[in-house]
Amino acid sequence: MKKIGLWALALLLLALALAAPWAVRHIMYHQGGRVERVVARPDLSAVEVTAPARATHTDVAVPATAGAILVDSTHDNLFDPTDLSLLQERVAARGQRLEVVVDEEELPAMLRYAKALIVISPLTDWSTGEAELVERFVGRGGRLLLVSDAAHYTALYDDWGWLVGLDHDAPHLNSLAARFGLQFQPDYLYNLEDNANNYRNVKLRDLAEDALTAGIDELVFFGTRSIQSQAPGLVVSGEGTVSNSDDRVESPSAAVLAADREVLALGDLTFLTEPYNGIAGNDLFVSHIADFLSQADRTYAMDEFPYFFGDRVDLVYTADPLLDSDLLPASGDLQTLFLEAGKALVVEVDEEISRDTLFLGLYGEADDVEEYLAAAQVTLYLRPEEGPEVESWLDYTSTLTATEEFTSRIEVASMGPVVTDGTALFLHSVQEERQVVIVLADTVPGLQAAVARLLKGNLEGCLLREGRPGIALCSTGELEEGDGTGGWPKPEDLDLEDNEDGFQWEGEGSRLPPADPGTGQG
Amino acid sequence: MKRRRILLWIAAAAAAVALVGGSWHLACRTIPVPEVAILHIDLELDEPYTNLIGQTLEDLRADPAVRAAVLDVSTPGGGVTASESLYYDILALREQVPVVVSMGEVAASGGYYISAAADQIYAKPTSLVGNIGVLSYLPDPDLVDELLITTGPFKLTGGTATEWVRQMETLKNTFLAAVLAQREQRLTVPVETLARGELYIGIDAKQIGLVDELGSRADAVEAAAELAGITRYTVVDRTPEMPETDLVSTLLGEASLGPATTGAAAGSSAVERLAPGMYYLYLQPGQ
Repeated sequence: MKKIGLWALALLLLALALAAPWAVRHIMYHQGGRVERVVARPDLSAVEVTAPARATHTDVAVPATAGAILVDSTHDNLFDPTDLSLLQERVAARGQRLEVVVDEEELPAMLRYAKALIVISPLTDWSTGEAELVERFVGRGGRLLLVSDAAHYTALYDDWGWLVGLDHDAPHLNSLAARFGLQFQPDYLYNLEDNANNYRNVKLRDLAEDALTAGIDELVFFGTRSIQSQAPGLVVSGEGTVSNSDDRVESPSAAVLAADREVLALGDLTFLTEPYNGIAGNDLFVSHIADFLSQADRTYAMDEFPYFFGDRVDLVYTADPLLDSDLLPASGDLQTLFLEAGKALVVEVDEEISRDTLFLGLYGEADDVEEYLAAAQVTLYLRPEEGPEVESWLDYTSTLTATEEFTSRIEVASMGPVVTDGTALFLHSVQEERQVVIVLADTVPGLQAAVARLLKGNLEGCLLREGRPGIALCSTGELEEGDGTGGWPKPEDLDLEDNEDGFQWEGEGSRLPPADPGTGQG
Repeated sequence: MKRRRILLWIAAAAAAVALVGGSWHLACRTIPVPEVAILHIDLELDEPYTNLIGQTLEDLRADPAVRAAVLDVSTPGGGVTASESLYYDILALREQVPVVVSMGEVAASGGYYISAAADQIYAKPTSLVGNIGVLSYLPDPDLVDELLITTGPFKLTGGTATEWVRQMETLKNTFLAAVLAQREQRLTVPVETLARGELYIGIDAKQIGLVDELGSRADAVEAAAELAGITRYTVVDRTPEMPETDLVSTLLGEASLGPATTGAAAGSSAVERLAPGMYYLYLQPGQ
């Protein structure tokens, strides 16, 4: 019995010994077990985004006279030629051609004939001279399309290859845009709630009433800059669309029409390209922009010779119908220039008032253009030539006496007197659709020099009278070569007291020498 | 006889000790010391790395000793699928044990995506948090080649640029849905604000509900233990060892994994070394 008790005790102790570790571990470490939990899973039923519908639009070109639209490429402009494929197609349908300006020296000459200029994302500034040139171009009815894009920039690295900054197009574009009261902001517009699949693909529904927005309810721009302007915005962002740089700006503009509707500023280029033109009213907007560029109503100044002429121009030599052999090279150059401009220059003996005309002649043989000079308030005081012919002239103007002190001169209202020696007179008259240019000089070499100026469109150093008719008085360089005084004589050197001592030629009532019925010479 | 009895007792005692030892061993295994596992996630999230982390998370789920986990997150994120994969792995672990995130220098984009899966988020006051959104390059333009022939117009590119952008937007919404699923009640700003992709310092992130508390990793460990209801526990670093990087590849600049750095310390441009695809990735300044 005692033995059994001992065994039982031993087994009990053993059981306790075996259980003790469990008890100890349990007491020490068991603090409840894992409790399986239900964890929320994302609801993905509503995350799918639908693609914006592709809009269909058939381009209908508004007829326009043929012309050239320039694309600036002289300011490290950040765009790919393919970016303009669509616009090129549209303007071509309107009879226009795109010409890329690759040499800044060529810009002045190309602007002489262009209808419009496109400037996209420049990365160098426009110089004051260039900006003034474009400003004059716009002032004469040329159209300007300024395009920025928030995605257009270059990265700037230091000598070690570290990124030190980004060079955006906005400040460089502003060097030109500021001339027209426009300022592209170095920002982009976004809308987190109402967008075309991306916060920076902004829907624009606040469109000003204009031919450019006709028939369009909504545009979608892709990373557009905002544009500040005194002029009201053409395309304005709606509620919820803000600038990334300053979300306090209310309704920033993405497109602005400025300078009396001659300058269109766009904050985005992407919408002009495939396939982004296919969204909302973008494609129709591209067509309207093509119309805008094609329908520029250019007025031309003298230095834009001969681009303001029509397709056919008559070349008439005043007084003498026979072409002086000294003038042959100049006339040949003129003809070449007209051909390059797509125009025909045809020599005619007499003026045909239904056609554009270019008159060339000498002051003393300018009776054919008397009416034009009179209308322009141009008066010629010519010293009679000595010899027998002078007598007959003096017979005609018997009250006049040629004196040694008398100096032949030109007087133009609001411009004052200028000597005829070494001076060429350019007159540009526009009568309804007809363009007339008159070039007069005192000698044949002077006339050659004047034609050379016309060929280059170079009126630098000339006295100019803007408006209609336009007048330019330019040095032909003869004095400079002759007496070495350079250019024109000073006004004090003129014998202005002897106005009556020469022939006065000022249109109606002028005392012109009689024209010889046979030759037309005076 | 007496000697034999002594031997018998010795044998009995030895057997008893062995049994008790065995019992102790079994008890240790059955009732382990509760563990708060720490897992460092501090590299850009690409597929090999997230596979490794995902395997570790699965191990933690299977280990009964692990009663809570603290994820020490310091990453600017990475690939969308890699980030999403880790998010769901963490949710699976959370079904077993509490998970607390302790944010390091940066828990942005994909780094925040995976953090959002946790029960609680601790951040340092200066941690960089948020940057919710997607980034990607658009697919290359389509091309027609005389030698390389494809059977469909998008075989090479995968789709149009506009379709790619649409998919990006869908992924952004997926990101937001993942955050909302876990933190909708804690956010103090509308989801549109989060969609701006802004990067917040920890202090601001707490104010808008992107993180729960400001504190150290130790605070996060305590919080995890508390959520697990344990007071006596060990803290074990369960971060897996990274496979050795191929030296030749490294020298050739082909290694995709690398320490997550910030600011000017970052090396070559991240943009330039991004492979085609979509990313929940914060591109640090200077990249």
